[in-house]
Amino acid sequence: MNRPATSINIFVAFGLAMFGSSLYVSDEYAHIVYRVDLGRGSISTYAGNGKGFGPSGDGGVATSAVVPYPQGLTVDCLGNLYILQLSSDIRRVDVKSKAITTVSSIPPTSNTSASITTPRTETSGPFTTTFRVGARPPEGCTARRDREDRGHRRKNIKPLRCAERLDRYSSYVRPVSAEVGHLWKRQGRDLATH
Amino acid sequence: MLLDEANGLIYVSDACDADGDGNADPSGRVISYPLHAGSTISLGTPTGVTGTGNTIANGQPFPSQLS
Repeated sequence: MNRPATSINIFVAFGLAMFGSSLYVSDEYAHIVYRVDLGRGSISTYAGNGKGFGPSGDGGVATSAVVPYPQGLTVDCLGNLYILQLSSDIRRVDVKSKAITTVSSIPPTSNTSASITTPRTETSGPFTTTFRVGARPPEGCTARRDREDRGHRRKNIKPLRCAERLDRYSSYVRPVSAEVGHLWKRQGRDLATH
Repeated sequence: MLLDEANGLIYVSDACDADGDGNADPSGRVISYPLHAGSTISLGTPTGVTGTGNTIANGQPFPSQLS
């Protein structure tokens, strides 16, 4: 349900991310991520059912899922939203289906690469790791990047790579991604063994 | 905080120490500042993007630059 963006009570506006005319805002204590339509000045729930505990709801619609204490937000070049929770879990909301999944679960007491236990895939091409887990760029990013690169060349503007764009809107997760991305690239092998 | 280069805006999750305890308190607002670029970069008048704003313990409105 869309409401005027300035009419809603937000307890703790924590994370911000933007994609097109959409501004995403995480309300940490309300356990909700909102989407603000900047063009219309309206706001609606994008992820989270307002509960801080219970079954995660992974695989289902993001607005029905439990998204406890959402903090940092970032959006990839396709518009998929990534939510870092207080628990250090990273959730992903698919831009098309609006389904939510957990893409990374990390023990909250650890902040080292040695603690990574979640499934990973090798990175390839010019992309670097975005989060603590090595993830391939979303399907379609390459084609979109190429289209944008051609546009930038016409305008004589230095294009941003997909990974750079991902980092551009990362705030909370950026130091982690930079650190792990670097390690991953340098070591080129299983981070869990280090 | 989020920089919107395309539109020359900075979005901020507004907070300050409202109760004087030394810790940051969330105002419950997201605000945006226009970026004025010249020989130096300055910020313009903030605009409320979303959130009605919190009150502090004594019921007073959260101190904010916004009216």
